Amino acid sequence: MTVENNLNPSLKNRPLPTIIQDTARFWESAREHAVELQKCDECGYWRFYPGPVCHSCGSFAYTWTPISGKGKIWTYTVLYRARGNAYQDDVPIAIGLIELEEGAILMSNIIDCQPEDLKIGLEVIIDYGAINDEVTLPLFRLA
Amino acid sequence: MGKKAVISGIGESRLGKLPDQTMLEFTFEAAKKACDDAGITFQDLDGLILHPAFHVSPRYHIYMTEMMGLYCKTYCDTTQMGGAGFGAALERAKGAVESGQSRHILILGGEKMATGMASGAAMMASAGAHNLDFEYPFGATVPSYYGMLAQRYLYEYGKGPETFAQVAVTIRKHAHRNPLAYMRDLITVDDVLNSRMVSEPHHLLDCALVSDGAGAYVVSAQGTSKDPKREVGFLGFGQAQSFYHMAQLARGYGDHDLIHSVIDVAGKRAFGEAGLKPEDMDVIEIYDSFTSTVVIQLEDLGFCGRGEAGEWLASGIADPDGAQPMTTHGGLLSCAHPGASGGMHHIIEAVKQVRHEAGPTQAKKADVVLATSVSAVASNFAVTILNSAAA
Ligand SMILES: [Zn+2]
Repeated sequence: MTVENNLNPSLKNRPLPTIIQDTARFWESAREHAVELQKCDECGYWRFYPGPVCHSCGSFAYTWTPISGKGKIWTYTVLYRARGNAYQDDVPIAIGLIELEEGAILMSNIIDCQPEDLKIGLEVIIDYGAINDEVTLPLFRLA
Repeated sequence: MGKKAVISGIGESRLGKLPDQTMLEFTFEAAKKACDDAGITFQDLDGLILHPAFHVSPRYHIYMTEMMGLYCKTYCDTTQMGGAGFGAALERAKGAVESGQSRHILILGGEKMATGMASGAAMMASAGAHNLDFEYPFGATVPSYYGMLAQRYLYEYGKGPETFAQVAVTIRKHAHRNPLAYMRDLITVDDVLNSRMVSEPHHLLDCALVSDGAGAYVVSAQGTSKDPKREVGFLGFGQAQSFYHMAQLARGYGDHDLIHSVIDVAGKRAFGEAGLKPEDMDVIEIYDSFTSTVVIQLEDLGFCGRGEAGEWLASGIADPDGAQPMTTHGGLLSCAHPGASGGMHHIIEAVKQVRHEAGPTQAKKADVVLATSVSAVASNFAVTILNSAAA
């Protein structure tokens, strides 16, 4: 179905993440509109979500490294109903799993498109949207 | 060593909308019925394995046994595997009984999802089972998680949403025979596809109901119930858990990812223990939180080939008069879904089938019955194969 003004959620009343020491750099880099992920110093694996240990080789050595912001839609859904949630009036929204060209996959919203424009495998590019002064979400739009 | 463990008793509260009863009232009602069925009293119990209704106390299992007046237990704990907990709890109870540590263990769960929470709050509570930092801020709800899983399935196999609709159609045929089911009118694939879109590609009729209700079963040492002929035995068990974040499930590991779930590991273990194959199951009580949950399980357990679940179901094999009737009480989709305890009713129905006490939903042949439990977006699984303990 076609939606007015494309899928452009206001992000109003979105649930906020709890920012802890392990994840602080990620949220800080999102606020700066230049997301960084941890890249393993031993095996080169890019991991998401942030944490102290490489999911692939178990190494504790890593470097926060900027991503290119390019990726593909691994899967997605358009959510039409979120009754009972604080953001229930801010639907429909497209929620997707985005496979970054670095290999990591992350959940995000795909914005500024019509539901029927979305397809698995389409290329996307990063964008940003602030929930408040502290939390900016990395979002994606069709490339 | 203790004796072989069996399921000696089952109990259910009323299911559906229960505004006139508190959650504790109908939960203990199910507990009492299960003990009555086994011919024991609360005081005969040696332990409790509880599913935590959305309750803050990590000691809720102790609190519950306290209300039952059960002072000393040899096994008392809570499972934290969501909808997979009830299958997993059976294996734990079996271990406690067969080691000789306990004689009778009660497995209990109940939730007041329909009338006990503010509108829609059930959805929020469920969100706590998923990641609150990297998923929930993007507006992800449980239906949207399964929507993403379902969308990927359609992409990989080049299928349309009728595949999922067929699950709802098949399970409704069973609910149609069950006077206790909440939704009993027969439906078509078009009815599912024309129902309101919730989260693409899942429509309203692809999603579980929201209900009140409780279930219970007692695991005992064989021969210790009032009627050993009605005791139900364990032929095979398996469980497996994969990842938590949906993005990590998608990235996968080896042969597994979001739509190639680790239930194949649980299934191989259960079938191996039983010395049986999927086609040997007389009845299959498949956990059905969403229609896509069922599709993934049927394929990963080997009931049909990859991408073939829709055709397999459309052939009628899983219908009430088919060779392998599926989710015979009507499941979470059509009978009742009292939160994570909803999966108990699949196992309770499996026990009824094996005993030939399922009444209007009884399958003609039910010597070997499989039941599955699933949670957290197809990442936590338990597979149980039951038969008559006397067999
Ligand atoms: Zn590494």
